[in-house]
Amino acid sequence: MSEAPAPDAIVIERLSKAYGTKWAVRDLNLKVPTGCVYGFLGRNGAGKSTTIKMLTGMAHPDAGRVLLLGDDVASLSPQTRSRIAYMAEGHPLYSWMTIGQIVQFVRPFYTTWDQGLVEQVLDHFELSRKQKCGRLSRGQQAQVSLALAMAPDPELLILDDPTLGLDTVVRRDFLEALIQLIQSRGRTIFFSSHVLGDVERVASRIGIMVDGVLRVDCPTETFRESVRKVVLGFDGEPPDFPGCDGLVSWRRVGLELELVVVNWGAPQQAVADSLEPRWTDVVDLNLEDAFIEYTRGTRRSLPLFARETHRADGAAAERTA
Amino acid sequence: MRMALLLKELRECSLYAGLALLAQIHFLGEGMDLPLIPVLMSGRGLEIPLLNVNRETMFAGTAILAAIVIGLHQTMWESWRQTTLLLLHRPMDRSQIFLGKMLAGSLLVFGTSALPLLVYCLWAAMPGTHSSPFYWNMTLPWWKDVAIALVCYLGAFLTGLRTAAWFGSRTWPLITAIVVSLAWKFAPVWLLFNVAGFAGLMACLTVLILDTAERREFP
Repeated sequence: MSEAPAPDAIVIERLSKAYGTKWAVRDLNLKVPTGCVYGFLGRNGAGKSTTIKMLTGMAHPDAGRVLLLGDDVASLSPQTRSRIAYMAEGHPLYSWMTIGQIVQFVRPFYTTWDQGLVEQVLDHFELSRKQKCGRLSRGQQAQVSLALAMAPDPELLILDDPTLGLDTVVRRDFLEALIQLIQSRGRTIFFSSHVLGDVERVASRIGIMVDGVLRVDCPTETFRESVRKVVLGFDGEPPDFPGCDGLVSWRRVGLELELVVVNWGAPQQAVADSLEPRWTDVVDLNLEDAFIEYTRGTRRSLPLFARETHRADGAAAERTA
Repeated sequence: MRMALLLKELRECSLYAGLALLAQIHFLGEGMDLPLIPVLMSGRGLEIPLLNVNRETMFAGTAILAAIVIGLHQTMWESWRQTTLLLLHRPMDRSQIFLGKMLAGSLLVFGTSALPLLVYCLWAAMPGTHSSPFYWNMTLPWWKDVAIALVCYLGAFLTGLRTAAWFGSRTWPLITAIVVSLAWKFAPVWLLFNVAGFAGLMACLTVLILDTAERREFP
């Protein structure tokens, strides 16, 4: 007899939210499987934070619903909430409390509190229990928040930009601790971030919001491998690009035409060839570049700061004619 | 967990409550010829306890001011520091969290008004402490001041909790609480109606607070 698959940790159905006449989130449908580490991406104002607020019940949707661990967020019971950890952006802590006091304050709310784990995390980051939260650096606040979030052994962690404002070293430490905890416990994590390197390192699946709409929901590798930048070189002013399947954007940069295309293949190549470029270059992108190219937006041309009249032979030789 | 919340709220507002309590001890202590800070004593004692209007005004003013500050601190400060997000995600009903906050705030308002008043009344009721008559109904206006402070506390709490585009419209619960409770104190009605009126006001504000807490979005 085969085991029934684990239910999705997060189910979002037709979620919408508007502020005035502007849609912050529109018709969002998303399922995050149990055990998945989901990176939720988007530019500023894309609707990530609004979505996370609706996930945690801090904002109310205008339409649609959210199920966390099978329970509707609108009527989330304290029992279910105790199985979900939430780290808010900026890691708010009571500034007048010491680290020891905030641990003592949060602890009675949970029956599954793992004090040993808290001690481990605090020791790992060399945090004294007597330090006042108000005097901690941003990185240390993030570390305390992580300890508080992990201690109840939650099944689902929702993290709103957890590495925002942290320097590179602290960010790396924080992520390594997070990865260790994930690997040892196999929990579902849903996190938003602006640091694409972090997402690439941690997330097994990503979602990208653009103007309140979820445009991408796929494994991280799939997205990275699907998005290609194609550069077409011309002798004179590049022509307008006529369009093709999977075209995200195009723009002129000097004597080149830059295309961002999802799933570049023979049909797209044929359209490009019809423009009779001098050369064509298909560039592999890392996640950060793919994200930037994908979300850059409208088909606008970059300003021409210095007109390029000839190209270095070495660079041109690498390109496919 | 309720105790943890209660202790946190009591500790967070203890500074305002402590200052208010010291002021009350001074004002009421003056009435007992035992001022906390003798240098600040206004005139000699020798007054009929509970009948000095100035003293009652000082007592009521301090109680109401402390109540408003505590109510606003419990809501606006927490919201401004964004610690509401930390608190509201605890596994506890939102209404229970806000009831816990209100319970702590009410205890502090009582502690800074009812408690020193009770000591003052007991002193006044004790034979041999002063050479003037004492009847328990002399204390009634003072107890009404305690009720006004409680209503103002809830009004301030609601003001701090609700969102509004304009500061003026945001403060209407507090302004309404002050005006209505003061008017009700001097309303020529039977004591029972008076008590019922204050209880009704508090009940209305509590319901509004819980409703606002449930509906409000937190940044």
